[in-house]
Amino acid sequence: MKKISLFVTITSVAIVLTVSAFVAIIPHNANHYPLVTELYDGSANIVSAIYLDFRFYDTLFEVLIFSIAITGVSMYANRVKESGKILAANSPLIKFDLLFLGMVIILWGLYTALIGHLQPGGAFSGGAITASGIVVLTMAMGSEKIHKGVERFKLEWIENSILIIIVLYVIFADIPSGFFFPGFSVGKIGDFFSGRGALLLNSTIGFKVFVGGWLIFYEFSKRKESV
Amino acid sequence: MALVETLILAIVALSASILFIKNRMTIILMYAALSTMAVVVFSIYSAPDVALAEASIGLVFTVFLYMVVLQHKGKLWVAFVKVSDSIDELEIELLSSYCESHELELKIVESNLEEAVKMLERGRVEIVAGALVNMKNSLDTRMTDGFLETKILYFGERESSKFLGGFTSFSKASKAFKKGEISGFYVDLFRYLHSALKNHTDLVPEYEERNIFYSFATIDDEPELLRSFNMYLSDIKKEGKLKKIVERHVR
Repeated sequence: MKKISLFVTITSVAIVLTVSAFVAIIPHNANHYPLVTELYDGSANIVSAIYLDFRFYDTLFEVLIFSIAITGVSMYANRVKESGKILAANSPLIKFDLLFLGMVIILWGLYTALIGHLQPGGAFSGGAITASGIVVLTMAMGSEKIHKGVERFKLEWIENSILIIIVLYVIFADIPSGFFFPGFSVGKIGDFFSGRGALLLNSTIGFKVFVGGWLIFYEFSKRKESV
Repeated sequence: MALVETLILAIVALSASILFIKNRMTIILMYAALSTMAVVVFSIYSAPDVALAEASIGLVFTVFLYMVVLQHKGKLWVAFVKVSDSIDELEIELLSSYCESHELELKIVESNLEEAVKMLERGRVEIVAGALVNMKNSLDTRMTDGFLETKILYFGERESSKFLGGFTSFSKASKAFKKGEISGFYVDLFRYLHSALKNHTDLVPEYEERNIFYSFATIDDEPELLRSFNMYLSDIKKEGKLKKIVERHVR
């Protein structure tokens, strides 16, 4: 089992890296105003520049609404008696396929979130893709192993504390470029460290969306017993 | 751009047709097909990030979530009062076909009438079956539409008469009636026939009330169950399925 998962992980990392090296998504509409971004933001992706910089308050309240939705779902679902579980896939072939697919989807989601300021993608789509990968992994390995992670890592706490990071960023976003993290500098368009807070925000918001999707799946897959 | 217009029209048609499908699994798969088309449209309109998010959410996340949630079947708890073989089988077949069409699991609790009504009031069961007639609704219970026509037979005085629930009490009641302890009672046709065949009673009913139907009892708190069951009954009445089921069990 351990050998299989190691093999799956390494192979899917290799696949994602090769795909991302050869198939760069051409940003069609994403860069109509390079001058503006070059002066003030430094993201190659104008959409990312807008929702992580120029109109960041929209994103802040979007994230807040998402947080409140997740909290509501888990508060309601905590009352439901937990008794349901998803069994692992029976056939080893299907299990292997699902593991493989799930790993590739998760890594692709991480990649999409991290490279959001350079090409189409970003925190919300990356987080959603990663959550779908976790759902596929749950189907492969059964719910017990995967769902232990929710309790062990205290995911709800991490998910809520990311909100504090984002609020702190909003308060101190006006720091001079390159204050304590290379991601804060405007940088050169196309560099990995560019686009001011894009790297930090994409990774944190992406993680938040990922955990939120996972929590929703976890809460809804508990069975409701009629007593 | 004919491709995009065709795809958008197909999306509208698919989403409208979902309204008329009753099988849940088909609806989920239709939804997955719909989001596949949406992915194509998004990528034609050069929004690859939205297309990626739609592909992962619409094709994987939502579909798996709905499949996992719909695996757990709801249960329909029924208190069952045994009366006579033919009508028992008829009622069980009706209830199980209702459960099949609504993807429920049928759970049957056998009891006598008084206990069944108590269980219904306490919320232990949702439906009471057992050759009940839809003459009147009591305070807490509501009767569904009828599925089989019957008649009520009255013995003795009509005003002071009392309905007999359990059919075993028919012989007791008839004895008490002969001795003059109770002034009158009434009973439905099935219970009367069953008891009369068993006990060779010589009582003759004085009055018959027609236009009475057998039905099931539900609790007043759940109008949704009553509504869906009545809709189901009228559906199978229209299809002619009800007549077939009744003719199979009752001559």
